Amino acid sequence: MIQVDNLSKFFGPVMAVDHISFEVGKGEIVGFLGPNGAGKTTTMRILTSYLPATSGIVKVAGFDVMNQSLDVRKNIGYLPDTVPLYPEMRVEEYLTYRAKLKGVDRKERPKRLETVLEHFRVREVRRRLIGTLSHGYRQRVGLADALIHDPPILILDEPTGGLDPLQIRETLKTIRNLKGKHTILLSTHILSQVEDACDRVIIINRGRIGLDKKLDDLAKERATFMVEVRGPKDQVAHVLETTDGVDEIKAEALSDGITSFEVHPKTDDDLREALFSRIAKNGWTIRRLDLVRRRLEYHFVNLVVHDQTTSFKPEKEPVTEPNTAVQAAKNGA
Amino acid sequence: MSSEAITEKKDPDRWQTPQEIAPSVMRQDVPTTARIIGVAALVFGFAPGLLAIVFDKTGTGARIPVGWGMFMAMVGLAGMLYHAARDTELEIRRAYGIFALVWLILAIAHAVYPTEAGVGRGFLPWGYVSLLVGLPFALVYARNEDDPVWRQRAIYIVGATGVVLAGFGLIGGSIKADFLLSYGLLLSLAGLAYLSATAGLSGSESDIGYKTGSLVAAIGALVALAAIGRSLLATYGWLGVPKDPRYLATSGILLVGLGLTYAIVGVSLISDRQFVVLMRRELASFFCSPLAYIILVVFAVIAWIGYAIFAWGVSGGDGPSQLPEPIIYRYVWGFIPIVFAVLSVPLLTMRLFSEEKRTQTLEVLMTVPVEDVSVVLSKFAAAMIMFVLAWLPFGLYLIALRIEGGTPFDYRPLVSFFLALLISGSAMIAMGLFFSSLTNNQLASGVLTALGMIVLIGFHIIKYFSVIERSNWAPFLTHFSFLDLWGSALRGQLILSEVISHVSLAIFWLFATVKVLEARKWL
Repeated sequence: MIQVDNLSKFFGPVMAVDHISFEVGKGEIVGFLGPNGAGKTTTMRILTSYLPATSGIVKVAGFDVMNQSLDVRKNIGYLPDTVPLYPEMRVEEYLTYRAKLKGVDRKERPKRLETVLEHFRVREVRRRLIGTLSHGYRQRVGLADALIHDPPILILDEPTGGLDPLQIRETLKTIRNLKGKHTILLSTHILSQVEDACDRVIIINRGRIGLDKKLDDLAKERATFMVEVRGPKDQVAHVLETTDGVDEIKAEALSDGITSFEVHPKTDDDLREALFSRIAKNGWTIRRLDLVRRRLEYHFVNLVVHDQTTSFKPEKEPVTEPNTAVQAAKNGA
Repeated sequence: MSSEAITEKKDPDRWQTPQEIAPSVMRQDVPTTARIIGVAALVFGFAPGLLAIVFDKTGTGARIPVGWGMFMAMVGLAGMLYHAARDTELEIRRAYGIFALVWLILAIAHAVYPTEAGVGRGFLPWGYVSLLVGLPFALVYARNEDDPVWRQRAIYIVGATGVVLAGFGLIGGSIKADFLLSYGLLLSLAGLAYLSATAGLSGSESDIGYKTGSLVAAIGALVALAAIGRSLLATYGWLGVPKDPRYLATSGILLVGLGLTYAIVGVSLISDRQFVVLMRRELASFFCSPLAYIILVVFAVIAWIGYAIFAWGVSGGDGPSQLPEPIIYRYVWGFIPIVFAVLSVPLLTMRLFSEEKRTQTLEVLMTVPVEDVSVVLSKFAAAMIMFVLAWLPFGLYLIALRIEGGTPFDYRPLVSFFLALLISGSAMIAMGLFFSSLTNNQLASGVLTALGMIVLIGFHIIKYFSVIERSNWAPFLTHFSFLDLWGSALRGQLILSEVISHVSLAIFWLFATVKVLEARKWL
C-alpha cells in the first residue's frame, strides 16, 4: 500500500531524509521509530503529499504522491503530531465538517460519527468546544478525524502523545483492532508501544533506515539464558559450559557467593531444563533461571548510539559517554 | 547488566476498559452573569421601552420619548437574547420559547387585524418587526432545547412560518408588482431567514433539514425562471402578452434577484460540495470572533449617521416632496464610508490564511482530498459575503425611506452602486486574501492589505497631480481606482472598462493566491 523508493528530502542545506526505501503491505501495522529529528515527520508529510520530495518516488495506495495527490489524499487518514484543530468548533461539528470535506455520504455521516466517537471515547465531550478540551481529548478528536472516512491507510504521527497511561493502552488497543482492515504507519519514540501494537518496525536515524524488521523475526533471534547460582564459581562455570548445546558463557560474581552466568546457546533450543538438572545434580541452589531475548530497545539504542559514535569518531575520540543502558546492551551482546 | 528479561507478556486486551466518563466532574452550570444581564435588560430596557412605545401609540403620552423607547427596547432585547442563549435551564428556556411564540402571534395578529386601510395594512412596520424579533429567540430556544419533541415542534413552527412568509412574498410579488416592492420583498426575505433557520437547526444530515434546503433552492429557481420568462414576454410582447417594457426594470430584476438569492442560499445550506462546506465553516468562524459583529455594527451605525445627515439635509431643503436626484449619490458619497471601507477589508481578510498557517490547521486542511482552488475560492466567497453584509444597511435604510417618505425615487443608482461594490470589493478582498496567504502573522497581512488599499485610493488621487497626469501611467492607473468606479456607479452608470479592470484585478490576486498555496510544493 505504501511504496517508498529512494526518497530524500532537503530543507535548504539540511538533509532531513537520506535515500530511504521501504514498503508497507496491505493490512500491516508498522511502527516508525527514531530519535527526535530523525526525519519521521518529514517522511510522513511527504507520504500525505503535503510536502514534496526532493528526489525519489513515493506511491501510496498505488498513486504517486506528486502527480496524483488528490487520489492519495482520498485514501489516507492523517494525524499530524501537533494535532491542529479549530478551537471555535464543537467536537461533533468539527467531525461532521471533516466528514463532509472528505466526501462521506450524507446518509453515512451520522453512523460514522457515532463509530469514531465510540472508538476513541470522545462521546462524553461531543458538545464541548474543542478549545476547552484537554490535550488528551484533542489528541483523540484528531484520531477520530483521521478515521472518520474509513480510509484504507492511516498515517499517524505520534498518536499517543499527551495521553495518560490508560488512554495510551486504550488507543493502542483501538489501533490494533483496526489491523487487517487498515494499513497503518504510526510514528512514536516510545518503544513499548511499538512492541504492543505493531507487526513491523522501521527504525530511522539521521534520515536513514537503520532497521526494518518484523517483530516476530526479532523475537526469533537467539535467546540467552540468565542463571544465578550459589556455588563455587569455576566449578559451576565448567558444568554449564559442558552442558549440551552451550556455546559460551560469561560469568560475573555477585555478592555473598552467588555468581551470575550468561549462557549463549548454539541452537534455538530451550536449555533451561537441562541447565537446571545439571546444577541441581551438583547440589547447588539456583536463584534465577530465565530466558532473555533482545528487546527493541537494544536495537534502537545500539543503532542510534552506534551511528553517532561512528560518525563522530574521526573528530574526537570520547564524544559520547556510553550510558548505563548502552553498557547493559553491550554486555548483553 | 543485561537486556531486560521477558517477564510474562502483559495482555492489554485482558485489561478491562472502564466506563467512559466526562473528563471533569460536571456541576450544574449557573449562568449568573447572563441572568443578571437578562433581568436588567428586561426591567430597565425592554419593559420601559415597550411601555413608552405602547403609550405613544395609544396616545396616553409617555414620560420617555418614543425614540428613546425604541432604543431602550432594542438594547433590552439584545440583552435578553444574550441571556436566552446562555441560560439553558428548563423554565427559562421554555419561557423564552413562549416569548418567541408571542412575537410570532403578534405578527400574525398585525397581519390579519383589519385597520381602516384594510386587512393586513397594519403589518408594516410593527408586524414585520415582531417577525424579526421572534426569529432569533426561536432559534436560540430550539438550539438550547434538549427535549427532542419540543425541539422538533419549535423547528416545525419556524419552518411553517418560513413557508407561509416565502409563499406570500414570492407568489404575491410575482402576481402584483405593487405588492412586490416593500411587502413582497420584505416578506420573502423574512421567509428566507426563517427557512434557513429551519434547515440550519436540523442540519443537512436530517431529513427535514435536507428537504427544507432543497425546497428553498427549488422555489428560488422556479421564481427566477418565471420572472425571466415573464420579462422576456413582456419586453418583446411575445405570445400575445401586452408589451410592457417597464416590467423588467423593476419587478423582473427584483424577482430574478430574489429567486437567485433563494436558490443560492438553499444550495449552500445543504450542498456537500467541498467549496460550499469550506465556505460555511469560514463564515461560521467569522461569527465566532467578535470581529464580524464589530464590523457589522460599525457599518450599521455609519449608515445610520449617513442616513440621518442625509434625511436632515433633505427635509431641511426643498421639503420631502422633492428629492434631489440621484439621491443615492448624496447619501453614500462621503469621507467616513470610504475610510471604513478601507479599514474593513484588512480586518475581514487578514485572518483567512495566516491563522490557518499559524495554528497549522492548513496541514490537516490540505491533506484531505480538496483542490487548492476550492480552498482559496471558499475563503474569498466567505469574506465577500461578510463584505456585502456590512454594506447592506445602506440599502435597508433606503427601503425605510421609501416606506416612511412615501415618495418613489430613482433606486437604480443603488443597484449599480451595489454592483460596483461587489466588483471593486472582489478586487480588494482578493488582494487581502493574497497578502494573508503570504504570512502566518495576521498583523503583517493586515498591514500589507491596508497599504494596498491606500495605494488603490492613491490611484484616484493621481488625477489631481499634474506631474503624473502628463505621463501615460495616469490614465492606466485610474482604471484601477475603486473610488472612480463608485462615483460613476452612484450616478447610475457602470463603465465597462472599469468593471473589466477590477474583475481582472480580482482574478489576478486569486490566481496569485492559488499559486502561493501551491508554492509549498515547489521546494
